[in-house]
Amino acid sequence: MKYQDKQNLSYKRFRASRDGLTLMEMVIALSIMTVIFAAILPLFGQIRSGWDSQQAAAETLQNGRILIDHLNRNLTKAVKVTAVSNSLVTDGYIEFEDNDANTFRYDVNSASSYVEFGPVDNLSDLAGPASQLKFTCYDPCDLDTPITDVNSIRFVKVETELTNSLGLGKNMAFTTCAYLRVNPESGTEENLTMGTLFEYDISQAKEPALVQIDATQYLCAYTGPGSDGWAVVLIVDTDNGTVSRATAFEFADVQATTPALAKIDDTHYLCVYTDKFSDGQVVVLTVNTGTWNITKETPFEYDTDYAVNPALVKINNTHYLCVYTDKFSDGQAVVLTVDTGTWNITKETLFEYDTDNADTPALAKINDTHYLCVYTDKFSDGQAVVLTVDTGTWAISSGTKLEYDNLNGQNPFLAEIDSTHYLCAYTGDGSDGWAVVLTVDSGTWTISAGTKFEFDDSACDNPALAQIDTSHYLCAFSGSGSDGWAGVLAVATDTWIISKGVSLEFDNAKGTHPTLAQIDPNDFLCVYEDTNVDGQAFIMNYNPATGPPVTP
Amino acid sequence: MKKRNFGSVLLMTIFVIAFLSALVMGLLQMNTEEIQLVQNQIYAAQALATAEAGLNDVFSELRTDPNWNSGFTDKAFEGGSYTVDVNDSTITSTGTSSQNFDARVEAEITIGSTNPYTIRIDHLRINE
Repeated sequence: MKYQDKQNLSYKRFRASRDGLTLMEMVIALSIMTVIFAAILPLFGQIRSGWDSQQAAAETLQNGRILIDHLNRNLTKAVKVTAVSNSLVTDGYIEFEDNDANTFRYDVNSASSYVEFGPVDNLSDLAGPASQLKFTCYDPCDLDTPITDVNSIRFVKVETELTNSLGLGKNMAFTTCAYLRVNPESGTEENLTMGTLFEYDISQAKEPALVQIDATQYLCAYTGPGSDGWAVVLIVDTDNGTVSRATAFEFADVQATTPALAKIDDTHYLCVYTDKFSDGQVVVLTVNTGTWNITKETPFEYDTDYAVNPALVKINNTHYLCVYTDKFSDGQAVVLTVDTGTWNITKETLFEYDTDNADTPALAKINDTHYLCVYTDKFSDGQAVVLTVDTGTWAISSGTKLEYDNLNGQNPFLAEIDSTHYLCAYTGDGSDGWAVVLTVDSGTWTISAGTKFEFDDSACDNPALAQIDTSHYLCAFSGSGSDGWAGVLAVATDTWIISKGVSLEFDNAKGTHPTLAQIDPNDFLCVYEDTNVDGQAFIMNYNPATGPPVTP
Repeated sequence: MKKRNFGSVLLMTIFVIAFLSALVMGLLQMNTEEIQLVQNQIYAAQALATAEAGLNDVFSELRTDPNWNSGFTDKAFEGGSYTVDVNDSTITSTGTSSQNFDARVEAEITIGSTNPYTIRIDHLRINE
């Protein structure tokens, strides 16, 4: 064979081996592939959409994790919450202060629905979009009742719902709780402090009584030098915690013990006391509001036999209810009438509210015609009774008595909680300090007693009370070693259970017969007898705890 | 003469396999990233929990002895460990997870003066 023929044959064989892909075959193959792809493409679409759905769910979950983690970490180390939305608001916000006193905020952007976070004036997107961001706050002691008082918030529950970016995707709800672990720097413990002591009478001042003249002046009546009756205007300066006085006035130059005071008007004050014959005397003291000098009107002897430890309460501008212990140690009550023109005093008919024994009575006004009277009975037990005054005839009657302490109830003192509840502090069992809430039924005028509380288990004599607020009462008393003590009694206004708050020893030498008057919500004037039986006065300042407890 | 058309099937198969592989690889890549993100978060949370545990361990010591200041060094905890430094009133706890993720919690505290010695946190810094 020729070389040329060989070449042609080899080319033909080559052609024969390479002729599987003609254009037609390609077209057919691609057409089949197109048909097959067209058939399976929707399947891929479904798979893809399944992946997308999972992807979106994973993204929502991751978003939620980030958000919850962020919220939890920042709220845990927050010092305090400074503002928060109501727990019912679904696009809520919370602002809190961090360790460096910077304020941060979480909220929901109303346009993008993204949860934002950052300094209050510079928020940026954190996670979302969210269809709900709810903050429910609690105090550290009660995780059932939501609160909005930012000073008390210590526990925050956050509920959020993140929106799935896919139209048909499911939203996801996340919940977290954070306890604010850092002590809020603005939070303070309850404290009771005293200002500078002022000796308003360096000779003698026994068993003082106080009544407010105005915001800074207080009338103080006491058994002064010569055991005579003295009165002085005490001037308080709460800014500096100091007390000063005006000129003292001797309103009874023979003898006057255990005075009690009631305000008639801004310049006139009714003072009842026991004279040297142990008779009951009453006098109107007039205070000059320019010089703060005191003068007196004509005294009136309302009981010529015997009247000790009188207590006084105002019925109206011209009538005053006075209870005292008579010569048989029985309990007497009388309405004293003051003529506001001549300042002469007369008395109405006496009423013996306890024919056995009634010592050291104390009074509190319930309403114009009813008065709660507590006293010590013949067994030294604590008794309480409602006295009813007929404002037409000024006759007095009494309701059913209640023995609120059958062990011991001496030197009781009353403070009004509300129109039907009264706090009574007294020297109880073991000569210790006890307190009880007395409840007056305004239909039957019967009295019931709550659970007794021993506020001082070492000693308590002559307690005096002053209301701080509805649930807190300042109690000053002569404690162990006859030292001067003051303590805060807290009354739960739902259960009427009493508990003790902060206390203060205001005189570690001696402090007897303390008397209190409220100056403002936080300041109280206290006068008492010191170790030399001199008169001391000082301002006590009470600050309730702010924020949560900050022990230690 | 009979034709031999073996080339088109191979081409189609390669196309299909390449397409499917690209799709699956892409999706798997996304999924792996998701898993890695979640794992990172879990390990970071473990480290933080370990640091918290160190802080609480120190608190527990201080509640019985307010003058205790030995601290802990690499104390094993749940596969990881914590190191706590007690410097006066500042407690610094560093937690390390089993995967060597670190977290740091620092607390400034005040200890009560009477037994039981209560502890108040005055400042708390987490990973700062």
